Amino acid sequence: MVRIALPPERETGTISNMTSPVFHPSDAAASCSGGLSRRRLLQSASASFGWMAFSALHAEQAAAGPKSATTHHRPRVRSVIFCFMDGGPSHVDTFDPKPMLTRHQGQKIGDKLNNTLYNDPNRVWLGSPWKFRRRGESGLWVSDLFPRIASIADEICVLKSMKGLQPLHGQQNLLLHTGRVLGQAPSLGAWVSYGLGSENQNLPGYVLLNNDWVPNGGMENFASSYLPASHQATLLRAKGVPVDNIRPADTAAIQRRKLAVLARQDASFARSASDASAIEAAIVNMETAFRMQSVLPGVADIGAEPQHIQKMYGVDSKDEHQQYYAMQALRARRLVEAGVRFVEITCPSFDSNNSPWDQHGKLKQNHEKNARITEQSVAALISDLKQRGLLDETLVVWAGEMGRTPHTPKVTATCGRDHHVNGYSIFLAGGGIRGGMSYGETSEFGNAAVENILTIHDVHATILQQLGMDHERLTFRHGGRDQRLTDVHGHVPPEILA
Amino acid sequence: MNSARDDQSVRWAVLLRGAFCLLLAATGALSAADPKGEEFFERRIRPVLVRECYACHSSAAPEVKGGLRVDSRAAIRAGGETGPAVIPGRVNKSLLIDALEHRTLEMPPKKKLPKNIIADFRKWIEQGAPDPRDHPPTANKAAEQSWELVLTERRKWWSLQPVARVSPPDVDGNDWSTRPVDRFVLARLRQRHLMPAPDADALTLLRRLSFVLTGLPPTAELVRSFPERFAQNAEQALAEVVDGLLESPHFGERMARHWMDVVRYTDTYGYEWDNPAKGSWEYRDYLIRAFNGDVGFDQLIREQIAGDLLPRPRVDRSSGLNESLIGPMFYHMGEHRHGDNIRINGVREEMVDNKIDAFSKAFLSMTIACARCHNHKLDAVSQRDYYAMAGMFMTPRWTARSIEAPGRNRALIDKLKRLRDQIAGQLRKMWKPQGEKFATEIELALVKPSEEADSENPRLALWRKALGDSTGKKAKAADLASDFASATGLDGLKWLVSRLVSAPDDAAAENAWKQASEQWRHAHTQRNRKNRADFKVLADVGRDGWPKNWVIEGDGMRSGRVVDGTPLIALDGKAVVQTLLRRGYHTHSLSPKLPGAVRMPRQQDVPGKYVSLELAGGEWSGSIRMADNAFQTEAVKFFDWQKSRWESFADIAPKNGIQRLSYDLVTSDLNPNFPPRTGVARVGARKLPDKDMGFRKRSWFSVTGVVTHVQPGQPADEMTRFSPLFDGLPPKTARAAFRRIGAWLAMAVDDWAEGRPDGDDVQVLNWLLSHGLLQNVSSEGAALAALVENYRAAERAVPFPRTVNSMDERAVVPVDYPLNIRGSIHDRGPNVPRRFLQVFGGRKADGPRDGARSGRLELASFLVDPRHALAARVYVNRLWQWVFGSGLVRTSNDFGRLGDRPSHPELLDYLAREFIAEGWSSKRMIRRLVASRTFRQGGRPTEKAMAADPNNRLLHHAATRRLEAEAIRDSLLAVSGRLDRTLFGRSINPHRHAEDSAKRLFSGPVDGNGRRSIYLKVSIMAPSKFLVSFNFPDPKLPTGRRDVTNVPAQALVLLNDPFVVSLADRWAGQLVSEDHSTPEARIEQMFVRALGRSPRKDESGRWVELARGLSDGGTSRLMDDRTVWKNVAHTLLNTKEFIHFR
Repeated sequence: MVRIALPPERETGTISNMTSPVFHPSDAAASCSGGLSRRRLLQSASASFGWMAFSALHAEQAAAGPKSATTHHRPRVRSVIFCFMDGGPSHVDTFDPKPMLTRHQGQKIGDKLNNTLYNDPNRVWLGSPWKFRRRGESGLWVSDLFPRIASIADEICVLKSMKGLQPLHGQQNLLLHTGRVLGQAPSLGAWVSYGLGSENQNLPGYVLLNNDWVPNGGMENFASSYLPASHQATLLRAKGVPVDNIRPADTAAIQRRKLAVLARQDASFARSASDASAIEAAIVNMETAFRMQSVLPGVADIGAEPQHIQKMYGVDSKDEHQQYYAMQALRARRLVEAGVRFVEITCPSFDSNNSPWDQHGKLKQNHEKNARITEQSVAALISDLKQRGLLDETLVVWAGEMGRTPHTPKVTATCGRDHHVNGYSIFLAGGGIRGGMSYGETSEFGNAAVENILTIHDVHATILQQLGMDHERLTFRHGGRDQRLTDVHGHVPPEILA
Repeated sequence: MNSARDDQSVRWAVLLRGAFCLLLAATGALSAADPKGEEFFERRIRPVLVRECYACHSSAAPEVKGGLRVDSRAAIRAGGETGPAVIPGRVNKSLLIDALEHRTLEMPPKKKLPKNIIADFRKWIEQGAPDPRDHPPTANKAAEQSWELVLTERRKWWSLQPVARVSPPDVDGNDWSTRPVDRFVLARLRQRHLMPAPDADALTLLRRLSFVLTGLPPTAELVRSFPERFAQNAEQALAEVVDGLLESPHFGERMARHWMDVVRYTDTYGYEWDNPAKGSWEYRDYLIRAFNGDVGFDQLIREQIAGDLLPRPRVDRSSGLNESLIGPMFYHMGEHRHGDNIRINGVREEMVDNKIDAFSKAFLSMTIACARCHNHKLDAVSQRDYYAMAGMFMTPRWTARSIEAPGRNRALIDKLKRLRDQIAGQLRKMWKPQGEKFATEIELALVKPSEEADSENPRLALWRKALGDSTGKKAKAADLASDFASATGLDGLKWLVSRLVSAPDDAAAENAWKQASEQWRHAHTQRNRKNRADFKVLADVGRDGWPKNWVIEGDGMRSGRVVDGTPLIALDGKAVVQTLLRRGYHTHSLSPKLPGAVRMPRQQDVPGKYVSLELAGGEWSGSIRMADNAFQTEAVKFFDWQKSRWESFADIAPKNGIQRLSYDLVTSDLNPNFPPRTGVARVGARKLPDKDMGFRKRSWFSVTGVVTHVQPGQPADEMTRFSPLFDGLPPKTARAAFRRIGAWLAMAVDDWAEGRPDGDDVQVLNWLLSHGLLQNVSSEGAALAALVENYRAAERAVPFPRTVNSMDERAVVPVDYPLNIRGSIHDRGPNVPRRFLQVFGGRKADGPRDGARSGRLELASFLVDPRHALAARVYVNRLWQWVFGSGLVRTSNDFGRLGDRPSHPELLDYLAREFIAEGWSSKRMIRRLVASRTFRQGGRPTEKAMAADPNNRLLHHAATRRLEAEAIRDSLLAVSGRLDRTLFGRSINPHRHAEDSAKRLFSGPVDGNGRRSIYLKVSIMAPSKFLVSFNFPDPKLPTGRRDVTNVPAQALVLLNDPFVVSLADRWAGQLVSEDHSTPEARIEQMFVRALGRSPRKDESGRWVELARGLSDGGTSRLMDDRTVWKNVAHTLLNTKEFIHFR
């Protein structure tokens, strides 16, 4: 019993009808080609902090080892990296070419679009400021906004027919993360962590690489909600100390002394408490925390990476935002190597935008700036994973919460595009996903998804499936219902699977 | 009123107890003569069909399953995809029987009906399946019928039964306790052959009581003195401690925070911008005062549901506030999206859902919000109930109220008025003789001006400046206005004067005058005609007051009505008056600190397509557009002009289901959404700084006219002020003309001095004032100077307003709310009349009674009705939880089917009755609970007890409990000596690593200035990380009972957080300055403070060893080494015992 008292309205969660575990962490570790193996990392961490002396007090805990994955079917990947493009990158300027917009630029949209927030008939079509070209062997369309992503076009699968619910950031962010516009439900990362656990006992299952930026919808986007708190995102910031309270307040020697006294003091308290096991669980947390102090910063330390790798991600950039993003992207790779199940990277906010990609104005300038900050690192991440043979077991998801309107109030040098959820693009890359293809279509002006329409639930279902979980069977009993990430929706489009 | 309430309750009780019988009676008794067998059908067959089958197999079903409908004779005989369901006379061929018997088909799915019912069906078919149902019912009818039957069943649920009258059981051979609470508990234990645990020791009890009642550890003095007192007389010692703790102001903080979980307390509205929730902290302080003052919980229910409607609001003498009006802030908590339904369909609906959820969980422990899309799956709540309640909550305006007790500022206001009158009196004396000289002065100034004359009388230059310095070289633009009438204000005079001055002869002068006169007369007549044709005066507010159903709020508005020419006293500088006011309402007429608001009726009830108001205002006053309560409206226009001008408010076509759209004029404090999201508050180049939380503004506005019109535009200036000037024959000479102008100006002064000025006079006077032509300073030592100084002193004493988001139901048009079909905002059905839940009688809320149109007052009365005592039962269960850690019903927010059942139902009912009998007093109930032997039990269960009842539902011991997040933080502050025990006040920002000023996520001090955690700002977007790591609840949702989880991050916080480390250091600083002879003595003292007990010998040794090990010197050096003691203190704060109590 980890809990002291029964929490309210929380019943036990189940992964129903579990099949036998088919995924062995050691296999994955062996496949790491880089200089960082989870096992070695653990060992060095232990040695440097004289861990063994302390842990001898609780030898049985130390021997328990990392939790094995339990899945519904054979997983294609063991972890996910989610590049969250907060604010809504424009689909018609990135992956979804619409020559009609250029042809009709400046012409009024008329009164046909009455189902959106931005439907004034006097709005006018806006052609993309960027040229679209076919890229790679596959000939996938990518605009000049993303030259580096274009260079890995054969790795990515663009979903062009995404359809959201409400053209507002808060709702769409929560929908993207929790599958509900109102939130109040666990985040995708929390579900993954809950379903699979972390491969590494000293690392959380869900890590958020953030820069103290709170996106619309709030920290709830990354919360565990009714799932156990251990599945909420652990925040790792780019600037300064990466994780709250991870830097020991004391030298190792002093901390060890303190912990030794605490171990004895708490053990005797546990014996006097009504339920010793609850206190003992808290004592174990102290040990885990102690180990995390060295393991987590170790993984987060990109200084261990060779210069050329750092450069490839853009860590050497003069732009501090790009620097941070590059650092986080590189950390993402290190984290999944170390066994973290779900890593999310948020975009840095570079001005007083409501959210980074939210270009109601200055589309050209600021989309370019966002692209400069993020796309080199995203492309580098995918290439790097591939070079290391990790792309097969990692799923990279690139998605904003919405797209942008193909029209604008008035064509000017600083005009922008507004919120758009009726059809927009995201992409997937990596394990089990077919690269160099696009799926679904929007209408000729890019106003609405018209073919193979996909919802966020479908994407969630796909992500879970690649991880070896059936989205209909990954449930948690709460409020008298077996809750799932996909609520009552979600289907996996077979066409995009390799 | 009384009879109405009685009627409601009686009816409810009847329905509750007798509903099932009534329904049976209604379906018809068995009749001996039933030739057609229809009676049999009605009694035995139809109810079963409706109850068990209609949901999927009738016109009520969203999707008819298997093509089969059983809701008419034809349909049931025709059958569905698999064939006829009923073939009269042929039981074995009828698929219905096959399905009921679960042979090839299984109906109802997963639930075989009882044998006797199936036998009825067989019999019915054998007899030829008589069925009078010629036509299928309408979808609504079918749904209603099937719901009625469901409801009948669901009414029987335990938590919907009125609280029973029970007596405490007598337990044989009870040598444990004779207290009623204990007898209930003991009886249940005995049933299971269990025994209560032996009493806890004195210090365990002391620590337990201290945390339960105040959320703080016991003081060192109590820890030292209590055991002895307890040993002498345990009962008395405990009673004294309990009394002391109940009287501690920290008791209120503790209970308030518990209740704040239930009402989802928050200081911000979250979503994209985390806007401040106006007056949240006032509500928090209101709760603290109420719990400390032991205000009856029935009163708190009334206030939170309908505090704005209570005929006798409760005034708190210590705070001088109208407490009742603060209660409805309860509704405003939770997340608010920006925007309204005009912009985005569904904003209102999402908000309303949160309100219904909070209301029903907090006061009834029901989950009404589950019925937004369909009838509740398990409880006695229909979808219609949900929308009927939505109308109750949507009817009032959700807006800011001024919460000062009525008349609180009256003495100051009266004083200011008196002083203003006296100042005006002095000015009259001063100005009248000045006016008498105007004609001469103007003549001197304009006719052959000389330096000599100017040096003798400096006013001559002022006159020339005011009238256009046309004698000089530079002509001003106004002088060049094309004609007299196109100049604004009194600037026409410049046009006239320039022509008079340059007139070569008398004839030319006379001509110029005639020309001006004609131009004026023409413009005047034209504009007058056009104004009459296009604009309808809705009210001359200064004379007639506000039009019907316009509501005003705030002392600034209530005391702001003035007559023409009332001086607005300057609050600083040399001038006596800032200006003279036109008749109308001016919120700042006495002090700009007084708040004011005007709430217009909904636009469709204001005549005309436009309503225009003659307005001025500044310092973030403005107009806001309220679309069905616009939970966080951003449709705001800020005023920033001194001189009145016309502002038009146009009707807007309602869309997205908006029923009421209206405009409010507000000073910043009465603007429910001020400050708005960052960046929105702008006037011209001026922007409200992000850090500005909108407090202490001198916000004001005035209204001097209201017209309505059909076409856009605004009333033109008719220039009536010039009418006396041009009356009569034109002057023959320029000189005469100048004298005429002087006399005309003097007339305004005369009128004012004699107390009969009109608006035109005021315009003239302000022109004179603005040009320095009326003396506006008082000479030193004069009576006027003293009066002005007194006035300013009195104005300084006016407090800044206290306002809070509450409700205002005055003159509102009640709204009913449309049922959203399957919860879809795009699919609105018919309106559902406002009423409370059908299971409680569901009486309609509408009625002729003024001020209670929403039905909230009746709702509040119903909730506190002692005859059913449901709300009392819900609340007593919470009190039990707050005292014992878990409720008698563990799911304290859900007494429904998905909730927990009471462990001691009789005890729960007994306590609910006692609670009411004792005046709904929380303190008395808590005293009763903590005085029980049950509470006094020790913390070690026997193995037998744990085997029989592992979750301690039967209360066989006192479980060890982890402190809540706030109690952990507060204990850290208290033990380290940093706790600032100040009560009340605005929230303090939690400490953050990074700020985001666009979202107002600012960082506060690491230690929160030592204030208790209840005063830390609860931001929905990003609450205090420290508190969140220890299970601070999600502020968007009502929380009945908090989680207690155990994660490594908690250990990291206590080990490494600078907050914890700095407090350890602070404590160490204190320790080394204290006089302890030995490390043992110091350790002893530290244990007492941190853990409420002395260390055992082995512990003392262990901790002294730690201290010595960390030190590099002998004992005396050790005792002075702050670093060593910081480390020892830090370690002690990291013990599990520190964050638990037993």
